Amino acid sequence: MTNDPMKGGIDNAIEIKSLRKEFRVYRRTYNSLKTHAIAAAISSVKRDKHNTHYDLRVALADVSLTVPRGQAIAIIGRNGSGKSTLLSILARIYLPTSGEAIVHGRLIALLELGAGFDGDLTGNQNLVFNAAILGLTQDQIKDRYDEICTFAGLDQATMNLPVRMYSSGMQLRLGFAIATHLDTDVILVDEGLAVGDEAFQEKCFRKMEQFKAEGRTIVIVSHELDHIERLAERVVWLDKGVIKMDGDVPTVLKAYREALMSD
Amino acid sequence: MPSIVIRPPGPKVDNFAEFREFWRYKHLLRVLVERGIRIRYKNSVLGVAWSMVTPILSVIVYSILITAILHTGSSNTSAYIFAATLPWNFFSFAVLDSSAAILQQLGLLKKIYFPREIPVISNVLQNFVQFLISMFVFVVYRWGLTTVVHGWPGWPPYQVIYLPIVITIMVLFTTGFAFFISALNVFYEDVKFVVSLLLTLGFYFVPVLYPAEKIQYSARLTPSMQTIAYHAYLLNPVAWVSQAFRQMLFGVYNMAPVGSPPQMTAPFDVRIMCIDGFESVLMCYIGYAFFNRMKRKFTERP
Repeated sequence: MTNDPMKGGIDNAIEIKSLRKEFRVYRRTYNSLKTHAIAAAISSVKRDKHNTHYDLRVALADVSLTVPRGQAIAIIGRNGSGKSTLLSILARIYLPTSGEAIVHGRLIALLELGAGFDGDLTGNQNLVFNAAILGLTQDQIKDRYDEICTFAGLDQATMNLPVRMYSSGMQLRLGFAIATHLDTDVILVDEGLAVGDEAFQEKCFRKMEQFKAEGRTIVIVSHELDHIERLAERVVWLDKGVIKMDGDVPTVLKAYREALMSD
Repeated sequence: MPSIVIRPPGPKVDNFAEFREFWRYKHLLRVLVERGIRIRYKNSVLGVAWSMVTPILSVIVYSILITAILHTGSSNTSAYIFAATLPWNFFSFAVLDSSAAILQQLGLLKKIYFPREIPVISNVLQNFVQFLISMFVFVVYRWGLTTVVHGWPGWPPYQVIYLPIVITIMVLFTTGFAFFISALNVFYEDVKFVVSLLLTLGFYFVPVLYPAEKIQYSARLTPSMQTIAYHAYLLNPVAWVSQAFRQMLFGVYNMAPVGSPPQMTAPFDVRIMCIDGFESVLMCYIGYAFFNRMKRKFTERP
């Protein structure tokens, strides 16, 4: 997790080399001293080093993937295939078990819109916090403030109200407006487009298409195959932590749909 | 163009690299501190005034206890107690809050990356703002209100120039402690109960209700034991900082009742400041190093 001088090709936005992630699945939750003590006692009685109190679940099994700059790539797969884990590792939420991933450029992960909104604070206060947590400085927030409010369709009076008084649609619009006014070269989106009404979804699509036109790299994880057909130019199909297929949109989606049908 | 290399956690942690990474997010720290203070007093009529109510009320109660019931105090007992509660309250509230600091933000830490130090340090700084408010109340009480009621209480001794250093020692020690507690409490939720128990008992090991020098005059100890016990007691930076606040703000005076042999309070001791300052730097570094090791697993908490 350090900044490293240029490594690899500048033409690639993301380089993933045999990335592996194992999670420990505990047989019970170990959040207190008592349960830790019991577990230690049991393992000392059993005197068996291989008998651990957790199982290893492989979420990603040595995945390698290179995403060229400016590509819009979609990741699909059944629940538990490792899509979200991959995104979370790129977003630096989890550290990998082995392997390496390099991201060239500033990366924003939209795993949740309006993350960290506090209902009791006003729209303005939440905007400042959310934008700061996504990496904007005070001056940048000031500069983009009007643009963000306009995009979200919220007037000054509304921005001064506590967010708990907003409708869920208004909260989403504010979250999305902030997320799309950041300086970013690589955007990770986790199901972020499947929210809001038709008109708002259309607005989101247009924003994503604008990002594509600007040459930014987009990684989308979604179950909405229609969205993928519209936005992506490449699809990676993950299955049980390995890449089952990687190619152009019609080919992979066709195979994926057939696999879904045959189950 | 910046590049980020994501690698598995290695056996070694570069604490200075981790700190530089944290420092890149200092603007977020400021926003989080402001937000924390806002949320703390949201929807309350008195607002920030609440942060003054607790110290003022506790000082009133202690003063009544000591002057009216125990009959041991002098005329400035209330201010004398007030001065020592300033660092103690900062330490105890900051440590108590820090046990929840990471767990409270865990949902957010699972959605957006930002340095894990931010919630802990923001929590210490929020309490530091409270400390500054209490400090202001103290100054108004000691040199404003007292002057009006009893007359000018006199300037503090020249050692008051050490105040910034003593406050730095207090903040460093508290931050190191907070790093330990916040990291441990993610995996062992008993920690917060242990901490509140230790703080309740620890209050009696800090010179708030009594002058630290009383240990030196304890009739139950031999003279050599008196000196050893007194210095061992002051090796605890929290106890020493509380005493130092009194020494810097009041100077030396006789705490013996009229008619008995004089018992002088000790003057500010720069050598003890150096020792406790060193301890605090060490505490802060070890706490941070421990935190850096633990923080990699926060989001994978079972």
